[in-house]
Amino acid sequence: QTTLRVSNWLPPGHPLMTDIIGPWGEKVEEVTDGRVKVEVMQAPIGKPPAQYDLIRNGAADVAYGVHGYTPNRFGLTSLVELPFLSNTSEALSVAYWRVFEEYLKEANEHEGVKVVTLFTHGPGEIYTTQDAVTSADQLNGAKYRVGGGLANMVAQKLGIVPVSAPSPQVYEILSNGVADGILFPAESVPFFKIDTVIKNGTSVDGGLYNTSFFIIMNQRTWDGLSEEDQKAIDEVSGETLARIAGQAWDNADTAGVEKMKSEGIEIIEADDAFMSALQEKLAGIDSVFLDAAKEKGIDGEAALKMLKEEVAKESK
Amino acid sequence: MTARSGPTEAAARRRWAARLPAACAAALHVIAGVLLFAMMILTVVDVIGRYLFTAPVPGAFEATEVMLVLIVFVGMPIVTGRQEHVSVLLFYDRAPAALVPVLRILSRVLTAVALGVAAWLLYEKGVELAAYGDTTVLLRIPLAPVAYAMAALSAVATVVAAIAVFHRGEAEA
Amino acid sequence: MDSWVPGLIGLLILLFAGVPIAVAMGIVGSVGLILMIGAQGAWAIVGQTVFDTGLSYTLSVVPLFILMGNFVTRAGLSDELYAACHAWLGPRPGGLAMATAVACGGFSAVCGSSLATAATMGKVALPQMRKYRYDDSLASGVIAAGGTLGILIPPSVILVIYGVTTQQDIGRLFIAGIVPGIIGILSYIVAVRVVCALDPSKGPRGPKVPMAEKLRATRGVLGIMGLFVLVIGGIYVGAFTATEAAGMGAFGAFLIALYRRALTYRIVGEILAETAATTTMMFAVLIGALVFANYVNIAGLPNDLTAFASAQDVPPFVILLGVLAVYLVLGMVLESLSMVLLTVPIFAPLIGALGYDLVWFGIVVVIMTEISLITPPVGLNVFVLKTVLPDVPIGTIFKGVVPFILADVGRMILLLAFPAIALGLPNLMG
Ligand code: NA
Ligand code: NA
Repeated sequence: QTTLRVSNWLPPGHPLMTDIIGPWGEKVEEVTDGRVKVEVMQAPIGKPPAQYDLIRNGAADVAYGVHGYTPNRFGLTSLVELPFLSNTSEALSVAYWRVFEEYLKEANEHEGVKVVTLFTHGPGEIYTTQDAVTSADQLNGAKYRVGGGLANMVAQKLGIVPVSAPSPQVYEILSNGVADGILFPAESVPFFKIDTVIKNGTSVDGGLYNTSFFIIMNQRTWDGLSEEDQKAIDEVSGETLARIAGQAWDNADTAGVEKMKSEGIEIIEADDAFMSALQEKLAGIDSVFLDAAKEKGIDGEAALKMLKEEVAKESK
Repeated sequence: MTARSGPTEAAARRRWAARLPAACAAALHVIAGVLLFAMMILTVVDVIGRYLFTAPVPGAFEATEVMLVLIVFVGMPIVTGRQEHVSVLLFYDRAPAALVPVLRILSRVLTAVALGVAAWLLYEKGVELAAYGDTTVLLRIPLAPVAYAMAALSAVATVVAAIAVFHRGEAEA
Repeated sequence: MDSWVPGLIGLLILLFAGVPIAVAMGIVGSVGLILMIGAQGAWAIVGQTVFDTGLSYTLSVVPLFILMGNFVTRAGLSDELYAACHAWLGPRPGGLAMATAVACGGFSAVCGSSLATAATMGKVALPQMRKYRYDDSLASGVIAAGGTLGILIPPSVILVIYGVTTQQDIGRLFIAGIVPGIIGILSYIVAVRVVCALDPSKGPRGPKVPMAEKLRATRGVLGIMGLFVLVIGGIYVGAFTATEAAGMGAFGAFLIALYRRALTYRIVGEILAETAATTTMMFAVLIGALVFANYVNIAGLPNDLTAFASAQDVPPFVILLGVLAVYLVLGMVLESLSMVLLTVPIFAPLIGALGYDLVWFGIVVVIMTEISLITPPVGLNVFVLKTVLPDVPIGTIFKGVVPFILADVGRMILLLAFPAIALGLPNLMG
């Protein structure tokens, strides 16, 4: 019998643990007839950006993490961080896994570990402590907290003044007016307790940006499993787990929206004029991914096309 | 910070520190001081820029993080050389005379070992970070050189600690 | 399951052998990790911890608050603070000792460390009390005890470390320390009063001071008040984050010192170098403690502890008292930062699981740490006082702190009975 120890850096009740890793662990136990157990470690063994290295070096067996925390390592994951891709995490996550299998995998960006699955969170939207954002002009010169990576580039192209702060300080910088707003998925607004300071939200068709996540396993741990168990675990990982993860984020987003609405936060949808202004300003941002694909010898155009087709299929 | 802070011991410590190549110690003091002052100024400029000109310093917190970690490790050879690492001297101070040199050498050997291991691990971390070209998220400050600098400073501290193993303690001097 | 037992024993042996605390925790933690999860994984965790610990924006407040205290001292603000307290309280029986308690509290409002507060006020207040023939044990006792307020009244380095370890908001922790800190000052005044009532010769009256002189002296407090309002007021109204407040406070203290012509390049260099060295000492302990914490966590100590506690058929309050007893015993022998770093990762999950508020528990831990600073045999504030008073036997100082330890115990009972003492202000803050 093998026990897979999962490194966890989020608080116990977080959807990533309760709705993604937890159910996956139960399924792994079930499909391996209890030969493989999954156990979540109680205290974090390292900061979020360190998770990949900790797993590769065998400090724990399984971890989840965000590709964008270690920029430069993963050029191809910018594919799913582009704007306007999908209104649900489920469609994008499933499409992501399929494109990964078809195109991205061969570049071997996740070297030294077993990729359990890849997924994204829900669409990144606009939240503000000020008046509702109804036009692209309102973003020009406004101070927004943005994370790193592609979201930062989106902000730049929109003329946003990016305010940088580590995520635990998001509440402080919004409540004291350091930032006028934030680019976030709906789930994160209540999670970071900023629903008390946010007044308005604008949801962007397909999302303004997204974030790419991984779940990985130590390679030696994986190689140590029997072929039968490996096959069984693969069945409940990959696309299956990407779908579960996507659904979990979508549910969390829905709950987030409801919480915000119950607190009087108005959430509107960007109208056609706003959308076309956004599309115009963000035209050409695809090149971030296309250039990375070119560098790594991947057909970026084809991958992007497939992603959009698969999202469309899954969004029906 | 430590129970080892009597004035006579402090003087002895300074004598010991003088055995560090003086220029090297002075340089480390200056570097640590400049980094600390710069860290303070950076925060002030960030806050004032934000309130007066709505122009905070982009990514200031990442620069602060790198400065802090450098301050900590620049100080490592200094604190090690001055024998200022915090210890519990409750038993040590009352130990039988015959045991004192044993305890002293044990603690200095372990200090050298710990610093040596830290230097090695930081070097390995540097190699790993360099292979990935890892940087901070916003300012894209390359992290490998930071790890190498930390490794080098820990290595210097290891040498300082290793020399101390062959020194007689301040009390017996 | 009990693989943390040999680790704890090994750590205690190394600590008592006089091995630096950082080294002892780092080595025991590394060896424990290697035995549990193998060399490669263990070195990955240890290497990552050594590399990452200092790369922290939140922890940058530690050197900045120490720096602020050092500039304040160099600017001479501590002398003026004491002069003002002296002018108002001096003429009463035991008045100079009361003035010392108040001045310690005032200095704590701009200094993040108890040792620095005790050392500073020792240099300022002791000569005065000796001049007026105060009993050595009362004089040194009140400074040693008053100095402990440095980590309770914000800013506080220990509260920052607690906040980072338990992921509690540092601003809230700071604000939570204010009322218990003021109660601390008042309880020390009462302790002085009682001591002098029992033996008036211990604290003779100081000279009468005319009102004009009192008012003039009070102006000297403005600098410290201004800094406190800037730093803690800024955090309270949400103008700054704790980190920004630290930077602004250090810079404000620097400007005050500059304005008073107290600085030369050489002095600034010395202050910066000393602050940096203190920072390194603290972070070395922090890194060692985090390696050790990783080991006990993976070995399951916090889980075992929670399981043990929930298996006991006693109310949570009794378990809390048990935890406090552990702090009391550890506090006798351990240095304050190490005690916090060693115990908080182990006890905070347990206390949280029992349903207690972790901001409140932070204040409880800090008061236990304050007590540890003045209890024998290892009472660092007492040792600091000893270096200022080389001719006084250490036993005399330890005797002098007894009334203040009793005052601390009384304050702890109040805080246990009325958590709102700590939580009232931060809850108002929202
Ligand atoms: Na303080
Ligand atoms: Na003690």
